[in-house]
Amino acid sequence: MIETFAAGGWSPLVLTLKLAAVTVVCLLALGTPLAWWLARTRWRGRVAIEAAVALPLVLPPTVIGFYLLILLGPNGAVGRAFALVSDQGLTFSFAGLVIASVVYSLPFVVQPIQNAFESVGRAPLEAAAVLRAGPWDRFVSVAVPLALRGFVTAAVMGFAHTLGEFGVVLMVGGNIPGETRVISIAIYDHVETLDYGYAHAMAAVLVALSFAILVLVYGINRRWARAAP
Amino acid sequence: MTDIAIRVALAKGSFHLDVDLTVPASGLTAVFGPSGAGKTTLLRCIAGLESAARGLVRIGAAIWQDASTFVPPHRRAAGLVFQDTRLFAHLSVAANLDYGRRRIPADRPVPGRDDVIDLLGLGALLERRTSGLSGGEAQRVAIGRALLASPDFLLLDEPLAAVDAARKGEILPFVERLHRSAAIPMLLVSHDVEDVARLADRVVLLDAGRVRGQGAPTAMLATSAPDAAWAVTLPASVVPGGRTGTSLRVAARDVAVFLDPPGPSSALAVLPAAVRAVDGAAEGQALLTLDANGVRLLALVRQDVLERHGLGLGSIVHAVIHHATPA
Repeated sequence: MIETFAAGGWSPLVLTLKLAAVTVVCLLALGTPLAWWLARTRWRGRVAIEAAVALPLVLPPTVIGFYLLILLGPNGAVGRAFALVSDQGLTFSFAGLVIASVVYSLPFVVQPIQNAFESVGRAPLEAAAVLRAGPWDRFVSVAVPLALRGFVTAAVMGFAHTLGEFGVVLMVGGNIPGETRVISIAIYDHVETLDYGYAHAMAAVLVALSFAILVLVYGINRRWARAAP
Repeated sequence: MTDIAIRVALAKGSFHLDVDLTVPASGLTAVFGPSGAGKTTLLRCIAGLESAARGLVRIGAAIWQDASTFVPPHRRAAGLVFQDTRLFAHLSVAANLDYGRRRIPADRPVPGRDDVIDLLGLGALLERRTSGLSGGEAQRVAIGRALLASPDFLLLDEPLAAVDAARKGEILPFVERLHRSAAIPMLLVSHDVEDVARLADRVVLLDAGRVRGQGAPTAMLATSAPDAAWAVTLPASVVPGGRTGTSLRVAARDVAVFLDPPGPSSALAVLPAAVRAVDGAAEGQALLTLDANGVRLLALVRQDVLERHGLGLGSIVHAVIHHATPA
C-alpha cells in the first residue's frame, strides 16, 4: 500500500485533509454568527435563509459547481473582486476549492450549531445578563460552552463532508496535482485508467477515515447524552 | 432619595402590566398575588429583561429606566433570582457563584465570598456540578450567585416554589437570615400567603397586572383572597358598635380563622364559632361555613393550612372579621 502511494503520490490525501481543515475553519467563522442569528431572530424571512442554507443538501453537486464556476470565473462577481487583490484566478485554484467547499458543506455546519443555540434558549443568557455579563461576554461565556456539542458535531461533519466532495471540485477545481487534485478526483482518475491498485488503496483510506470520524461523532453524542442533566 | 419607584407599563398579548409602586429602599417587600397576576413580569421589567416595557425604574438615586433612558440588564445592579434558578450547567457551583462577582465594576464594593457561602450554607456544595443539586440547594446557590454580584436591589421570584413543602425548611431560614443580615432591599414574589406573612416587612398585592393594595402584611393578606363572590349578610349588632336593626355584608376573604383567641387587633370583631361545613374552592383554598352563636359566616382559608392544624368539621375556632360594608 505504501508503495502504491509512493507511485501515485501522497499529495491527493494531504491536499484533501488540508482542504477539509481550512474549510472547517472558514465554516465555523462564517457559520457561527449565521447560526446564532437564525436561532435568535424572530424575522419571518428567516425561513428563506434557512432554506437557502439547506439547498446544498438537495441540489446535485454539478448544479452547485456550475453556478460557482460562473461566480468564481474571471467574469463572475466573486472572481472579478478576487482579481483586484490577486493576480491568480479563483477557478482551478485551492482558494476556489475552499470557497466551493464552504458553500457545499454549509448546512452540515450551520444546522448543528443552530440547533444547539436553540436548545440553549434565552434563559441562561438572561441569567448571565442580570449577573453583569454584556452581550459578547454572554455569548462567549455561556452560549458557546452550552452549545459546545453542536460545535463539535458541526466541525466533524463539515470536515467529513468535505472529504467526500467530488462533483463540485470537478466543476470548479479540475484536476491540478498538488493544487486541486483531491483524493476523490485522484481515485476517479486512476479508475478511468484502470489503475485499480491505487484506487483500492485510496478508497480504503477514505472509507477508514470517514468511518473513524463518524464513530467519533456518535461516540461524542452518546457520551454527552449520558452526561446531560 | 432613599426609596424605590417603579412605574412600568407593558403589554404582552392580552395581558397588560400597569404598575405604579413606591417602596422604601430597605427591608423585604413581598409582591403577592394569584398566578398570572404579572409578578414575574414585574421583576423582569425591573431587571431590564423586558425591553418593551415603558415607564420609570428608580432605585434610590440611580435611574435604571425613564422616558429617555433604558439601562441594559447587565449594567443594572439588579440581583434577579429566577424561579427556575437558571444555574449554568457547564460550570461548577463555585464557578456559578463567581460568575457575577468577577464582573463587578471596579468602583463597586465586592461582597465577601466566604460570608455569602456561610450565610447560605454553601460550603459543602462548591465543587459539585449543578445537575446533582436538590431543588433547595440549587435555589440557595442561585441566591448566593445573585448576592455575590453586588446588587442594589435583590429580586426573588418564588424562591420556594421549586421545592416541595417539606423542603421549604431548606430555604426559608436562609432567606430570613439574609433578610436580617443584608442591607440590600429585597423584592420577593410569592403566591403563598404563609411565606409572605413570615418574611415580609410590607406587602404589595398584585392582580391582573395592577397593584391592588400595599401595606403591612397582616392588613394586606386579609383582603387578598381572589374570590370576592362569597359573602354573608349579618345583623350589624354582632360587630361592636354596629347599629341594631341594620345589616352588614362580610366577604369570605375578609374572615380569618384562629385556633386561639387573638390578642388586641384592628379587627372589627372576633366571634367564637364552630365549623359547620368545609367546601373546596379554587387555587387550593377551602370555604368554611361557620356558626357563630346562630350567625352564619363564611371564611376563605388555604386547604393545606386546614390540614396542618387539623381543622375540620366541628372544630371550634375564633372567626376574625377584618372588614365589612353596610348591606
